[in-house]
Amino acid sequence: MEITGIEWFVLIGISAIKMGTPLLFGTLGGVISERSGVINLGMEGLMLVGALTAFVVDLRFGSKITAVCMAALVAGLVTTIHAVVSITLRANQIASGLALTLFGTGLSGLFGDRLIGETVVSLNNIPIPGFSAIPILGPIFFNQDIMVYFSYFCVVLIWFVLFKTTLGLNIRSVGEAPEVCDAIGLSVAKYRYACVIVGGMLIGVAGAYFPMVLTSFWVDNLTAGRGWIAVALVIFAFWHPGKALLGAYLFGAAIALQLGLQTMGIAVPSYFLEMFPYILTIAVLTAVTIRNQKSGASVMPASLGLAFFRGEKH
Amino acid sequence: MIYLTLEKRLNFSTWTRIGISIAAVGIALIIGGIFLFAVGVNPLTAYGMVWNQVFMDYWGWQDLMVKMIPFLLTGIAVAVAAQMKIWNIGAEGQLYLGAVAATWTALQWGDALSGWVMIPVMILAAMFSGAMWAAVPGFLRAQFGVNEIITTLLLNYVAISWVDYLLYGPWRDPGSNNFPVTREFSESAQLPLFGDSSVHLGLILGLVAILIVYFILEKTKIGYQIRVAGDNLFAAQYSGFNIKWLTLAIVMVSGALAGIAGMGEVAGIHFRLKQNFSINYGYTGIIVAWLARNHPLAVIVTAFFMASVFVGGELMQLEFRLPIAMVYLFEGIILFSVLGSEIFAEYKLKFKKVGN
Amino acid sequence: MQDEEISPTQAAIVLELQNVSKVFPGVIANDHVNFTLRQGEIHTILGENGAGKSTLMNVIAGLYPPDGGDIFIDKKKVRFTNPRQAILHGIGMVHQHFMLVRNHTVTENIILGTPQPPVLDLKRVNQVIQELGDKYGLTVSPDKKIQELSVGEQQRVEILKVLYRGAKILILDEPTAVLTPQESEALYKIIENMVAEEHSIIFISHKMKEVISLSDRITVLSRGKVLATLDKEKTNAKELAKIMMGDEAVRAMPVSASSHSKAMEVVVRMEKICADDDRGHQALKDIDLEIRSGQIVGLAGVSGNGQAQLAEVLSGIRAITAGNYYYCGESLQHPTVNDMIIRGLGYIPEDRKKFGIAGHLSIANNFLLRDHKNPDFYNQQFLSAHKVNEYGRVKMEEFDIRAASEKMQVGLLSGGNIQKTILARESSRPLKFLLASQPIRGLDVNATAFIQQTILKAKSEGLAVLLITEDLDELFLMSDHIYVICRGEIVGHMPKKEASTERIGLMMTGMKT
Repeated sequence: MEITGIEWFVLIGISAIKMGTPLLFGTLGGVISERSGVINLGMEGLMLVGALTAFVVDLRFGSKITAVCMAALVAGLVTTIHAVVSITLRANQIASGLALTLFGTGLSGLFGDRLIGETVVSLNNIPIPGFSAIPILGPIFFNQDIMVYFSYFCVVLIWFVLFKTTLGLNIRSVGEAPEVCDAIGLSVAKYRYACVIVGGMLIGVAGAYFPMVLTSFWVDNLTAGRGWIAVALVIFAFWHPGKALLGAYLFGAAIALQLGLQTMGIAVPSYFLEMFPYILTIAVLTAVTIRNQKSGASVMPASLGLAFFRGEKH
Repeated sequence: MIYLTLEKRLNFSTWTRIGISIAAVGIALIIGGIFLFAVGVNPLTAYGMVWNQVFMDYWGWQDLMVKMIPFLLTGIAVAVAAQMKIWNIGAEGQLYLGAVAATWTALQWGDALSGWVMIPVMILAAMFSGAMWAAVPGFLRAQFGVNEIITTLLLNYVAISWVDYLLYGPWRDPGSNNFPVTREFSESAQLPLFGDSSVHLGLILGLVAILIVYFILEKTKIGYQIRVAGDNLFAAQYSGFNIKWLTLAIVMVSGALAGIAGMGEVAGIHFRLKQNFSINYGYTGIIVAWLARNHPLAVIVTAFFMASVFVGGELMQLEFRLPIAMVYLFEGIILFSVLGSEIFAEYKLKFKKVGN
Repeated sequence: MQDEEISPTQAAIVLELQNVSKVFPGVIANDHVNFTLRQGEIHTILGENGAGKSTLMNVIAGLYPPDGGDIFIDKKKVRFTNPRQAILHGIGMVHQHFMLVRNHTVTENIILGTPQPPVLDLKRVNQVIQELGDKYGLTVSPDKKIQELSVGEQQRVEILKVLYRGAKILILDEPTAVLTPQESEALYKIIENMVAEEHSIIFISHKMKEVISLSDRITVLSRGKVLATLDKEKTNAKELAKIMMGDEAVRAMPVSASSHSKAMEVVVRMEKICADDDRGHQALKDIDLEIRSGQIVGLAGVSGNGQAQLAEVLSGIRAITAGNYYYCGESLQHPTVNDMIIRGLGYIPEDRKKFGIAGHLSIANNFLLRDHKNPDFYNQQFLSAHKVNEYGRVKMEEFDIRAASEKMQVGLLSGGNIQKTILARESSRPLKFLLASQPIRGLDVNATAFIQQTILKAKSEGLAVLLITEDLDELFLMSDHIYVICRGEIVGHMPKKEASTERIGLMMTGMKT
């Protein structure tokens, strides 16, 4: 059966959104955390923890909503270690993030070992009446599963909170100039804890998307480096939720295209297609960095990655 | 009111630091024990077994020495880059590329050349290949300031895919029953072993590499420049050091060292290239370097320590049917614990009474 | 000494400190300080750098809890464990280093940390800020980002921030240190407006002139202790200086060496030099400059007007986009830092901790920094720790660098000792030209005197010196010839005898004379 160009485009489009959704959740989680000044390089590990938790809960209790909530909860709990180590104990955020990745990878590998081979039912697509009938865009954006719709909601919500509310102003200020916030009595640690943990919960939701939609089964290292792509996407998105959506779908499309070409039996060996998203990430990151440098105005939170010390006078 | 406050230590000694690190590792083992317990293994039995079968046993020591080799090299690789505050998270990929280059020379000339020629050629090829792989993120960082943490890491995935391609494609041994492995290296391309043990030449290579790095850092002009640039880039600029060049050079040296580690694994242990020959050795290098506070000589001690974690982990893998992920979990806990303890080297906890 | 007698007509005491002490490990920053502030009063705290003024203010503002003593506000005892409580009690501090989020707008900075509705109503807030600004003569545009503002404007934002929070007691920590004379005048007006509105001001300064003209009372602080509290009417500059500095300082004051009258050779000549800043905007425009041997040329200007870029061009860090740079008669095309070091340029950078040292390396190792090709440090090509340390010990002795050992991390030293380390390194090579940017900023009397004397001595031995400074006292004390820079242009130059504070001050704001 031949499919037309448009049909093929729509199929790739649908797949791009699905592939992009965990990246989107992860990037949003990263944006929240980094806006408050804390880098979370533990995304890969957190996604795995979220993925395993969702898979286990779905398998045992069959409740999708409980599965996602538990994934967020457990990932939030695990991120708290990163928060304690890097905020309260003021350790290097990069090293702590790497520890988190190792910890999460290990934790999911250890407890997921016995679940290999089991499967869960994937989430259904729910077309949104009216919107899903729009040609081309309808089926791509509005005939998706509920988690995709939830991710749209998160983008808008996070944008609104960060840029239009007092809470958002405080968060951004803590990331830019913690000493200023401290001097006027805002608790730097409190905002950073909240952001790191909420960010971690979203990263957990990102992980949950893998077994619940993309694979329906568990294997070791299920997320296969997507967490790291999300880390890069935070920079690509200039720490902005709207641009995070753009970036996530761009990379979702790259992955979808790779899978699409693979199934079409294109002559390029699949191993090269597998490299494509990673190389693309490096290329895009380079381009963004150069552009950022030329424009001069840095949008990176000024205190990103720095532990906050009060009164370091003597 | 009584507050718990942190007070900066006015003079902290190296011994305080070492003591705190040892305590942190102890705490990590306790926390790890809780996870062991959670998967139904009695941690005391497990640790006792590791103690008896690894540290109290000839074969255990042999395993330790073998495992230590890649950690010496990836550890010093990460520590070298860290001298300039550069994070090489890509030691894993550089290690793979080193292995690929070594394999290529072995398959190409292994039958024709003697070991005296073949082994230096393999070492140089592995160094070159690892260095060039690292040069990509090194150049991007030096020239454009691209975040090297992400680029080095992402290249790991590319390197692994590349090895998969070679093993499933052009380099697959036709006689392997479709297993994705190359044919076995000829004898001249196998690293010599110590006596009848399985400890190979890599141990010497690793130790020598560490001593050379130490010497360069402490005793040469360029080492001095690296130390200054690592402490304060602005001061380096003010002093006229060529920071771009230093950055690229140090990342390439780092990649070359990780490349040797890859060569050691394929030419010293497996005698062929195969999938998953590295069990996170590159990432473990980060922990080795961090535990050593990036001090080259301390890498020897911390590499040994991580080797014992791995050998112990593999023992548990066999004994209790636990997945290798157990080791990663321990790595994460150890790193967390050591990181969390660092503050106590600079600050002491003090109960403070506020009020008159 | 105790308070002078207090006349009963004076206003109520709004703030009182009794025996307040603050101890940092190894240092007593405040030692049983007693202090009172009356309503509508300007009470100055006068003291040298390191006297404990800022620490005391941070204690009042709730940033550091005191280790002993009591604080009373409106006769009620208070105990602050964080800055928010101080703000709630009407205490607001304008820090010396502005506490502003550079990437945020004026409004965002002002409202940060104040009670606001969950969803921000910026329109309403902007209006409130506008009204507040009009009332006190503090004009700023609410939508501008801090990084787009001048230093004077940023300070106004700081003051607005404090007023918006309803502060009745304002602490101004060396507010005029970064301002031009004209901006300072404007600030005095604002302070008078605030006093007229019943605010009480704690003013911190070490500039005698403004202290005398502005204050109602003056408290002198030294080494953490209150030496005296005096009414303005009952004292004068001379007495204050004597109390503040003690006898030691009188000895330490440098004597300006008279300049050579002989014809001197031109060491540095710049002709129509242009250069860009890091973002590619033009930072220097057609700079003409001449420095002769045996001469100190002072370059005055408000910080951020191209001085940093000029110093970088001279020292080979920054490339020239147009113009000619002559050094000892030779035209330099693209000199590198190393070229300039070889040609005998010594450079004391403005930000000494950021550029001048590698803080975690030892003092001895820092002597290699711009001198690492010096064979004295090597034993056949290889660095000799023994020789490096030996050299360090000699220089520490020679330059009076006070530290336990040459192996100590240089970053742990006091500002004065760091500056001496830099000076020792930069002047121990055969030099032709010394570039000194803000060499005494933030240093105590003794270090200042030592550094100024060393520079003057080097000059008398024939060195050409460019002294970049914002401190007009230093400018007049040290220079033989004065240039003024504004917005990347030289707006004028004159021999010292033709210069006056007013004239230089006007030129610093860009008026050509």
